[in-house]
Amino acid sequence: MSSSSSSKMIELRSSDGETFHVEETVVLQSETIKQMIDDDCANAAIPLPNVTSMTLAKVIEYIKKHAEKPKDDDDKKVAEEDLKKFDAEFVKVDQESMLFDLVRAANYLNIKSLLDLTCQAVADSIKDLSVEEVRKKFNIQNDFTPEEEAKVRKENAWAFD
Amino acid sequence: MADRLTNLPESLQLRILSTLDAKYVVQTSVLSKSWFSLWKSVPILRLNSYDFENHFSKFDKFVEKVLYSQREIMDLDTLIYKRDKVSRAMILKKVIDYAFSHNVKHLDLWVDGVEGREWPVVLHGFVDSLISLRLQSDENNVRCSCLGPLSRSFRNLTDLYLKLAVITEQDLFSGFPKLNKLTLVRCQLNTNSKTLKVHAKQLSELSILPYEKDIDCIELITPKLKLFEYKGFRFPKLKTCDGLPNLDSVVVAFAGCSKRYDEKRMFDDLMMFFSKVYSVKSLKVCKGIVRILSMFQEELVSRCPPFRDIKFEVEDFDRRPSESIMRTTEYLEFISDMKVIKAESFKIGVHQFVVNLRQAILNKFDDSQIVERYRLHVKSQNAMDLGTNGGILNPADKGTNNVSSSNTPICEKIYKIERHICEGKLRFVDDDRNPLVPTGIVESDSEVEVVFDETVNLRISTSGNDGSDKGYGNNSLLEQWRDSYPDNDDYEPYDDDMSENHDMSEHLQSICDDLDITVRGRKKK
Repeated sequence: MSSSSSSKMIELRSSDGETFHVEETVVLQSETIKQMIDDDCANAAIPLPNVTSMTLAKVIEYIKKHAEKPKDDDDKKVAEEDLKKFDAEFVKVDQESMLFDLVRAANYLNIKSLLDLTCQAVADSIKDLSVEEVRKKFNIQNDFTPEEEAKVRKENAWAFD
Repeated sequence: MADRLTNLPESLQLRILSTLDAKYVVQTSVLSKSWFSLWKSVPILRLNSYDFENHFSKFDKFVEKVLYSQREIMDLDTLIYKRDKVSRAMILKKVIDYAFSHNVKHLDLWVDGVEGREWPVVLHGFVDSLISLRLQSDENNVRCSCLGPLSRSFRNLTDLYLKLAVITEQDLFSGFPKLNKLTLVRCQLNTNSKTLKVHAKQLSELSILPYEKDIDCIELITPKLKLFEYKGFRFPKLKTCDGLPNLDSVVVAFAGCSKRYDEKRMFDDLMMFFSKVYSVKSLKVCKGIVRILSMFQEELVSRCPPFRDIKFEVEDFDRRPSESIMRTTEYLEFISDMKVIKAESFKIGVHQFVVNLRQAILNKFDDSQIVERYRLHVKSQNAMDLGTNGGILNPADKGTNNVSSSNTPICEKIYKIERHICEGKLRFVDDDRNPLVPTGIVESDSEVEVVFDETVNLRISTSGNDGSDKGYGNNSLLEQWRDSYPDNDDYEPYDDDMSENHDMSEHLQSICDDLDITVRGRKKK
């Protein structure tokens, strides 16, 4: 690809000190970084103190895939299908913590499509669980006393039918 | 282990909850104290009877309870109400009032029907927050007589979607000051005339997808219209006031054969329709339309309006109105300069053009990559009927065929397969035998299965990458065509309506000019 070789590279530094080189055109999907570039703050490596190298690598994988432009209309539909598959696979992470790290990273870097995708994935994992199962899955401390909980349940009984 | 969900910033918790239906959102109140009232701040409220396994009384009670709960954050971004069966007008009215009083931006009501067959939209004052409004009924027609008088109150409404609505007013849409996108699905006209009037100064996208209820005439006063999509059993008369100066693309699909109208009538109507949109840059039609055009090749020559600078596509539309494109191998896409097609269709007829199209597809199959991925199994008693070898049409069959004749077995086969698809005898499945086509196609007893690799899409373009258009021999065609059209003395205007719009001889010249450009090469982006 001729365009990529001429594109400017941006250096990103993760919280654990690893650096990543990404094309400017790709990294512009992050509104946060776009703002930094617009403000001319991107001449040196951009520190991302909230994002670990593992998460950042995953984010870069995502934005690289989403930066691929279909050559023409013919290609467009194939590419859309392809992206859908990629997204579905992308959120199937081994560790749940990674999904939450991605939510936070997408939020911090302000990449809307990634934020939507990861939030949806979290919601999907909650959807079919009972209250107890959600507590267990996410290790949520139930700080209601049994009486309090019974009261809340009674108040909102119409949502538990 | 940390509680990752509770430790997320509230904005992210709300974002996650926004994707869930209200029932599950409310249930989070029991998780812990910090979740107790969070649900009252979620900006998207999704009320869905499906979550109550269609116990409607429970759902209706749930809706009332939610509406009576005081919200923590007043404003609501989106309210979606989905309920099977007929909804009580009283509850719907409450939902609508609640939405408007919470400054909703997007309101989407989706029911099977409404008690009293009337959308109960009543309001006092202005609803400046509302940007998009969808009133969808799946089974019964519902009047929307409230909309016209209220239209001026929706000062910022840009997107209006009506499904199975009964339009009772002559001029329903002119009141919305910012209406930009209008979608009418299976809407019925209950006005004195059978004319659908769309007068909307800011409108840029219009989709009319009628089903059974026919519209005789569509009157468009939409100076900013860019996209016009029409899908129906027949083609209405188009009336425009000052033309459609900004029209970029037109999508026309034909939902299937109508018994009431013969093909000639269809063709006539289609020519009229085309004559009103001849200035478009992109025209997308379904294959059914190409078939109709191909039946009247000679008339097409004299009557097809001189499209200019057009991108022409043939698409296979899915039979389900809600999903417009069939994403399978059978999907044909034809992108070209209409000028090339003109030369083709004028001289050799659209039929031949369709045949050429098929041949080009077959040639594509010779492309080794695609051949490898292409498998077509036809297993059924109908296999012989399809003229395939032992029921399996494999890639080797194709490469060896002589495609220069219009009657090659392969073309026949493809045509037959197409027909079977139309008749619902064929369906596409992926490698795991899951149907690729949405369930809109009826399965019949004599089921034929076509297995296609999902990744294969057929795509052709008349000009090669070198842009020379050699394949069609345009030069000679063009000359023959010019010879046969020295002037238009014998041209009989088909209809006053059509001739008022363009002078044939003038356009012929301009096409010739355009064609010269085409012959030299097609522009590549």
